[in-house]
Amino acid sequence: MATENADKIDQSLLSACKKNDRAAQKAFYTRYFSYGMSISSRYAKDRDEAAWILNQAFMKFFQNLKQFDFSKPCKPWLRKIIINTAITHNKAYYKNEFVVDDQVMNVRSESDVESNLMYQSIIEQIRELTPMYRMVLNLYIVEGYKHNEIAEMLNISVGTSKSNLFKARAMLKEKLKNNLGIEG
Amino acid sequence: MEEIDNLISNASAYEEYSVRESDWDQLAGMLDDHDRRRKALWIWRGVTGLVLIGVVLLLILPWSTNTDEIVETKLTVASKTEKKPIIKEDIKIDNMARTQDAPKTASEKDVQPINQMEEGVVSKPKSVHKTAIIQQQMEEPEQTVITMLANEPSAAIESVQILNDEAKDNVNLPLVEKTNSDTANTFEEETSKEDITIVESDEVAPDTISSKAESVAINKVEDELPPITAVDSTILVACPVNRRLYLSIGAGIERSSVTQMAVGPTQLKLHLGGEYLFNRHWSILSGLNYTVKDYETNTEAYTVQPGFWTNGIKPTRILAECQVLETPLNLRYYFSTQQITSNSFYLSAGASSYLMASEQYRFTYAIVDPTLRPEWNGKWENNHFFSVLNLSAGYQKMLNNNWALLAEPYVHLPLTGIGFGQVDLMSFGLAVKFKY
Repeated sequence: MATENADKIDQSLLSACKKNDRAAQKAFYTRYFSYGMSISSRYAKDRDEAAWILNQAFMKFFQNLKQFDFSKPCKPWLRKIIINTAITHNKAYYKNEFVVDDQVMNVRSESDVESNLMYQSIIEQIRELTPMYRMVLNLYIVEGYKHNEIAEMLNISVGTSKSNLFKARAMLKEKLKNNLGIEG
Repeated sequence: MEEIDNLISNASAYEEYSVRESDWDQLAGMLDDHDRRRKALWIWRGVTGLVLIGVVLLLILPWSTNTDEIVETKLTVASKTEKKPIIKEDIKIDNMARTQDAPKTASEKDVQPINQMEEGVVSKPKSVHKTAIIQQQMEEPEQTVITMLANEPSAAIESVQILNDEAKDNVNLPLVEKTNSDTANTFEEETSKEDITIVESDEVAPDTISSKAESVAINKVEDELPPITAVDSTILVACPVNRRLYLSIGAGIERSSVTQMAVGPTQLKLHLGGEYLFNRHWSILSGLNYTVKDYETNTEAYTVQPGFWTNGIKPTRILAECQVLETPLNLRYYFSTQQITSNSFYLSAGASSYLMASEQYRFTYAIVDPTLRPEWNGKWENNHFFSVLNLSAGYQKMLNNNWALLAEPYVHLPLTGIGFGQVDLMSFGLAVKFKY
C-alpha cells in the first residue's frame, strides 16, 4: 500500500518534472537526495564531489524523462544513471589516477577518520581508495555487477577487475584494522 | 562473500544524507543553464535553417529575374551625320566579329525609355531609326558579345565605349571597335532623336552566347530634329548578380588570452573555407580552421567541479595548450559598389564552433606536493557550438579574374566558456587568404 502511494507520488512529481516544473523538480530532488547520495558518495572523494556527481545525474534524469516508462518505479533507473555518471566522472577527472597500480594512491589526511559511526567511517575509508579501486569495489560488492560487466564498463580487462577488487579489499581491510580496529 | 563485503554493503545501506540548499541551488543553476543553451541552440538552428533555405532559393531562382541589380555601365554612342548608307554594321570584340540580324522580337512593349528609369541619363535626342543591341554575358566575360544593328541607314555609330573602368574590368569588355565600311551612303540623316532603352530579351541571335543575356536596345527614332554631329549618351546595362561559390585557403597568426591575463605566444592558424555570394554586397562563409590556443590562466577563470583539486589546494598558475578545430559561420559585407570581383574592403561577423581536438593543462602550485594534480589532458572531450563571436575587417585585392588575395585582421570573443576549464577565451590575429 505504502509502495503504491509512493509510486503515485513519484508519478505525479515526474509528470510535473517532465513539463520542466522547477518546484516539482526540487520536490523530487529532495525526496531522492539521500538515496542518490548514498550511491554517489561511494564513488567520490568527498561530499562535495558526491553532490556534484548526483547533480549531474539528476540533470540527465530530468532531461531524459521523455524516455522513462512511468508505469515502472523510477529508483532503478535513477540508480543506473547515478552509477553511469559516477563512472564517466571518474574516467574523465581521474584519468591520470585511473590505474591499477596502488602506488599512485593519494595520501590524505586521516584526522577526520575518528568517528563514532562505524559505517560512516567505512564509507570514508572507501572514499580514500584510488578511483579505480573504489569503483571496482562498489560495482562488485554493492551494485552486484560481474567482473566481465565491470571490465566492460570501465574499459579494463576482467583480470584487472579481479586484481583491483582483490587489492581494494586488502587495502580496505588494512585501513579498517589500523584506523577503526575492525578486523574484516 | 567475505565479511568485509558485508560491512561495505551494510555501510552503504546505512547512509543518510540531508539535502542542503546549496545542493539544490547548484542543480537549479545547471538546469537554468541547460534551458538557456537549449533556447539558444533552437535559435541558431532556426537561423541556420533560414539561411540554408535562402541559399537554396537563391540557387534555384532563374538568373533572369535579377534585373533589379543594375550596374551603371556607361556607354558612349557617337553619332555622325555623315551621309553613309548603314545597312548593317559589324562590331568586333576581341577579334571576334559577328554580324547579327535585328531581333525582330524586341517589341515596343519591351522597350522602356532610359530617361524614365533614370533622369538625365540620356544626354541628347537623336534622329534615325536605328537599333543597337548590346548584349553582355557577365558570367563569362571572355565570351562577351556586343552586336549592333541598324534597321535603317542612319547616322554612323562610330564607337561604343565603356567609360566606367571598373565595370569594364568586370566584364572584360574592351573598347568596341567599329568596323563599318566607308562606303558612301546617300541617305541623309535630317533629324535625329534617340531613345536609349534597356530591354530584357531572351530572344537573341543564335550565335550569341546566352539567351539570358541582358540587352540594351538603342532606338533611334526618326523625327525632324536637326542633325547632331556627336552625341555622348549614357545608358544603363542591367547585369546579373554574380551568385557563385568561392573557395579560399590561407594561413595566419593568432594570439589568445583569458580576461585580465597575459596574452599567449603567437601561433599559426590554417584556413580552408568556402564563400557563397548571394548578393552584390553580401556573402556567407564557412570552413575549417586549425589553430593552437596557447594561453595562461588562473583558478579564478578556470572552472572545475568541486573536488577536482586534491585536498582543495588550487594551483597558482595554469598553462593551457589546446589544439582547436574551428568551424565559423560568418556573414560578409563588401563595400564595393561594383561586382564582388573587384578590390574592396569588407566586414565580417558571425559565430564559430570550437571542437577541442586536444587539451593540455599544466598546473603550477605554490607548494611542492607530489600528491597534487600536475596536469589534465583530454582529446575530443569538449565541443562548443557557436560559442565564439567572430568580428573581422579586411581588404580584397583581385590578382586576376579568378584569384583574389585577402588580408583580414580579426577578433574572436567568447560567448560561453571554452575547454575543460570553461575559460572566457579571447583570440585575435591576422589571416591572409587566397580566394578562387
